[in-house]
Amino acid sequence: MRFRAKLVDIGCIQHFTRVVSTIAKLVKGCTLRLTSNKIYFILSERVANGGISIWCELTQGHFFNEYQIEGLSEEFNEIYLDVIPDNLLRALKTGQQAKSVKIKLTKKHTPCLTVEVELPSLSNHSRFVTHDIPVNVIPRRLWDDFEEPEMPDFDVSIYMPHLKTLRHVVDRMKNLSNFVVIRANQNGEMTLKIETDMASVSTHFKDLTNPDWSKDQDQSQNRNIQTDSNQFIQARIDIRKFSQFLSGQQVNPQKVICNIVDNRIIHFFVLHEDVSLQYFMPVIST
Amino acid sequence: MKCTIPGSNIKAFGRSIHSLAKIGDELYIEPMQHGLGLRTVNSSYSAYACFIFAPGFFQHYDDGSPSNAEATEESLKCKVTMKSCLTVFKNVSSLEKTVDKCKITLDNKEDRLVFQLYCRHGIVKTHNLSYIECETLQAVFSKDLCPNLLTAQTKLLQDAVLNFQNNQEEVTLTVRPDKLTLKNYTDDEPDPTKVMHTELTLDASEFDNYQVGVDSDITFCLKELRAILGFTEGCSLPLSVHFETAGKPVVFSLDEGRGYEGNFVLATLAADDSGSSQRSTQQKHANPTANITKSTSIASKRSVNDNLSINKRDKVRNQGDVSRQDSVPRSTAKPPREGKTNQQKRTRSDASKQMDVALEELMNDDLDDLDVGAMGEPHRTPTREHRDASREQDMSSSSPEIPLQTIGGAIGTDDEDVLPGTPPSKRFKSLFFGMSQQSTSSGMTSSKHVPVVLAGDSDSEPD
Repeated sequence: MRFRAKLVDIGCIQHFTRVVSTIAKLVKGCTLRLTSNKIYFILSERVANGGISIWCELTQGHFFNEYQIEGLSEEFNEIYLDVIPDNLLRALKTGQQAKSVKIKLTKKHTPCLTVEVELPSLSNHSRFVTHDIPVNVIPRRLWDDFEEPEMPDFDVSIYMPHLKTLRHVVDRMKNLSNFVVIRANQNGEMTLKIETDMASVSTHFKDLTNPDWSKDQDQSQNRNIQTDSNQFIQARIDIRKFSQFLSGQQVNPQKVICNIVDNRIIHFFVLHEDVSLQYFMPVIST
Repeated sequence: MKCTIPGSNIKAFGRSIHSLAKIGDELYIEPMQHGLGLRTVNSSYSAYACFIFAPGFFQHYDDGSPSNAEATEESLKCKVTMKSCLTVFKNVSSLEKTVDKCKITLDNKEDRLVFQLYCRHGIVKTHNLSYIECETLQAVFSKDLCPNLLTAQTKLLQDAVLNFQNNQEEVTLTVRPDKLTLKNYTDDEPDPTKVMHTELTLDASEFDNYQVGVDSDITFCLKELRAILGFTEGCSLPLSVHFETAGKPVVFSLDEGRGYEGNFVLATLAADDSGSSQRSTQQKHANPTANITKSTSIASKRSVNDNLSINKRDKVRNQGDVSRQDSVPRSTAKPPREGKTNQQKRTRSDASKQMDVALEELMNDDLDDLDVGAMGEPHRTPTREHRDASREQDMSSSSPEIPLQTIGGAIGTDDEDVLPGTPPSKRFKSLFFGMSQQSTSSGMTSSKHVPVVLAGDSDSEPD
């Protein structure tokens, strides 16, 4: 198994760092899947731990100047690693002014993802910083645990308002309740609501747009979308996790889609240039 | 003591206090003829920091001693809590803009240390701090004799340190003739395989001065290094790093030129046990003559130490001889300990005396005899010669720290004799050797006193 990749452009380094930072803010540990043209950060939590799943994929060609991978075999040219994204982030953070950042899989005291940062210096020699991040190589038999989650047959799909705005609202609500009910309809309306014994607080967003899935998805995908555009579909979720998701967004995404399956699951789909992040949150019943 | 800091220098003064505050909880203030000394030591006695502001730094400087040069000792030394002093210089960045001058007065009638900040618009802020009278806090080190000297702009080190995590406790600095590497020290982690390793390489050419006499690996606390670098925040000053080998202290110094100098002495992690046993052997064979010669200066200092709390300077001088005799058998075989109380220091076992050497120097009252850098020169040279003569097996004439080695050796002996196989996992050669590590010594009950004395300001142990 071999892997080496090199980032040279400072914009790419920073962008990649932001993606890792988003992941690091969402999860403590995740799986890094490397394939010949894509990099994935994957988390699939067991239901007992909250049942959150994350699927983040980036196209390597948009980031890396050099990218070599020799996976498990010809047939399975992939590598799956257990990694702590925070470690990766901290390593990348030292490379914010770097001339180049190399990431490679190494065998040191333990399997490591080595981040080699070349920093400019006062003299004509570069400064080199190497970070050895211990990783765990996941054997082939467990790979099946990390398949892309299917997009649910959602009942409603809506573009979310600006995440910053949402965050302000949610952070206030967070002090009042542990759960938030997100409601949306196909008419561009979205409501965040908390209810406690003492108060009921809701924030209404209007004039949002609903993505049109009919063109690029087959009919079976969106057959559940309500014909009555005014009918609200709702999901009750953990407000802390939601707030974490909102504040964790470092990339300032162009589009965030919220798909809701009535009282079952909520699916956030963050799209930004060459990065896509899917975040699945199960509904918490009352 | 009375002095006035002009507005232009107040920032440096304030920053020095902030920097010291990151190391210790108490600020030792000592007015001396050649400047005002601010010192501190951390709670585990593994880091010591000292700033000396030359009279030229001040608009007006009066150390408060009578003009008679003999009487330097008379000037009052005191310590205040770091917290109280920090409040005076709370917002360093705005100090420069708002304060025209700062007057510091040590008022021994009212028993107050008074800071008066003369601000714009005629506002005067007065801070009255209560203080505790104490003796000089002084670590013994001689940076000039270290074989390794690196000088770099603080910017370089700041950039280097930035690569390490904020929660990283220690770093290992490795020098080779052509390059320097900084690594995070992870040996004490519960599971080293789970820890991220970071390594930074700097080329020798990045340093203003790169002089490596011996290849060495030293491990020290990052927190204190950050404190030092914090002082120069914003601007870049040349910082010198003097060091030798593992177990010997590393000295970071900011040189004079701006009217002040700063020295930070950090303990480094001891090398493996073989190293310390070697040291202890050396120490056992140490030639008494060496100690005698030294003792002329040490002994008087020590007696000052012993008696400071009762403030009898004449007694100090009288006791000089007694103490000196005392120190002769210091390095002979250890007899059973007969005396014990702190009050009867002279009856202590030799083992404890060995400790004394260090602490005497540590608590050295006479700064001109043994001080940092150039000031210590007169005494250091003879000391070194004797040591060289006395310790053939110590090839490096570059280890002038008798007290430190003595103590290091003593600690090493303790560990080996008493607790074979169960040394503390992490042993910093404490500069002042206090520390928990000796407490288990069975043959040297006296060692229990050592931390007391070391920590000690005689005011805390009424004599």
